[in-house]
Amino acid sequence: MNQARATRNSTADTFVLPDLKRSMWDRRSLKSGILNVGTWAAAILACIPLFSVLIMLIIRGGARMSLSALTELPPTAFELGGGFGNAIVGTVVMVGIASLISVPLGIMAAVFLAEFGPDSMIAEVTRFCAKTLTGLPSILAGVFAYAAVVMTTGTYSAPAGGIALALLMVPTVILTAEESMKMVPRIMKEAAVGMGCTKTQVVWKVVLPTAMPGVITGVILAVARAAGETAPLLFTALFSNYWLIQAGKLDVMQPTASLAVLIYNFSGMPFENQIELAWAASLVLVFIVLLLNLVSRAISQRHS
Amino acid sequence: MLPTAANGIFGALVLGLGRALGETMALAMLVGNSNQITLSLFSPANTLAALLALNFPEAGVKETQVLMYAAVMLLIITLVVNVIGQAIITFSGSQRGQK
Repeated sequence: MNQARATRNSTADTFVLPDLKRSMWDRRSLKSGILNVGTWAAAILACIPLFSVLIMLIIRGGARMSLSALTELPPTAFELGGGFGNAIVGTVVMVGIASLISVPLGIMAAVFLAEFGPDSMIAEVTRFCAKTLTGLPSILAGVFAYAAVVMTTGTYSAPAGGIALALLMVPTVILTAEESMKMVPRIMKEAAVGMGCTKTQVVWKVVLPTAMPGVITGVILAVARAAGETAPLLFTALFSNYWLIQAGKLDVMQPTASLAVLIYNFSGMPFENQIELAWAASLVLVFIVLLLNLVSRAISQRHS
Repeated sequence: MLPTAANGIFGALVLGLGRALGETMALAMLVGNSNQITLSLFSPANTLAALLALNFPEAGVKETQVLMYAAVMLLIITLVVNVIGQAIITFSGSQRGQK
C-alpha cells in the first residue's frame, strides 16, 4: 500500500520498484551459493576418515577375527595361529589402574573447583594447568612415567603404564566433572544448606548424585582415550608375550602387553600372520573405543 | 559470524597445532626415522615425538639422558603453543563478557 502511494505521490511518473528477485547468476549470490556448497562438502568430507577407517578395519580385521584370536597368546616369529588374549587383559588392567588413580583424584579436584573455591587463586591455576595438560603430548606422559616409576622400581611394569595413562586421564575427568557440577541448580544446593547440611553433606548428597551422569560421561571418554594410547605405554609397560598370571601367581611388576602396543609392534613385522593379527586387534580396539563413546552419549542424553 | 568467532577459532587452531606437534604414533610409523636435515619434504626425516618413541625402549644410560633432553624441548615447545592457544581463548571469552 505504502509503495503504491509512493508511486502515485511521486512527481515523476517514471518511478519504478527495483527488481526484488535476485538472479542466481548475480556475482554476489553466485559467491554465496558456491561457499554454501563448499561448507556442505567440507562437513561431509570430515566424516570420510572415520568411515573409511572403519570399513578398512572391518574388511581386513574381520577376516582374522575368531575366538582363538581373542583368547590365545601372541605367536612367535614363524608360528601360525595365535591371538592377543594377553593384550586385551593387559589393556584392561592398565586402564583399570589408571582409572583407580585418576577418577577419585579428578572428581575431588572438580568438587573443589565447582563448590569450595570456584574463584580462588588455586582454582584458577588448577583450571589453567588442567587445560594445558589436555594438550600434553602423550609421549611425554610416557617419559615422565619412565623416569618416575620404571627407573625407580627398575622394571617395566603394568603400574608404570597405568600411571602414564592416569596422567592423560586426570585433566579430562577434572574438566568434564567440573562442568557437570556447575550445572547443578543453585536452588537445590541452597535448599540443602537451608536444611542445615554441612558443605560435605551438600556435595555428597546433592551435588554428586545430580551431576553423576555428566561425571560418568567424562570418565568414560577419558577411559576410551586411554585405551587407545600407544605412546605412553611403549617404554613403561613395554610388551610381553605371556599372561600376567603365571603359574597361578599374579605379578603386575613385569612387562605387560597392551592392544595398542601389540598393533604397533606387529604391524611393522615382516610376517603375514602378525600383520593379520594387528588388523584384528585394531578392529577390537576401535570397537571398544566406539562402544565406550556410544555408551557415554547414551548416558548423557538420557539424563539431559 | 566469522569475525565474532575469530578469536575462538584462532585459539582452537593453535590448540590443534599443539596436538599435531605432539602427535607420536602416526608419525613414528610413517616419518621414516632418519636423523638428517634435508630440504626435501619427501625424504625420510624425524620429529621429536617419533624420535622418543622409536629410540627410548632400547636406550642406554647416556642415550636416555639425550632423549630426556629431547623430551624437555618437546615439552617446552608444546607448552608454549598450548599456553598461547589457551590465552587467546580465555582472552576472547573475557572480552565478550565485558560487552
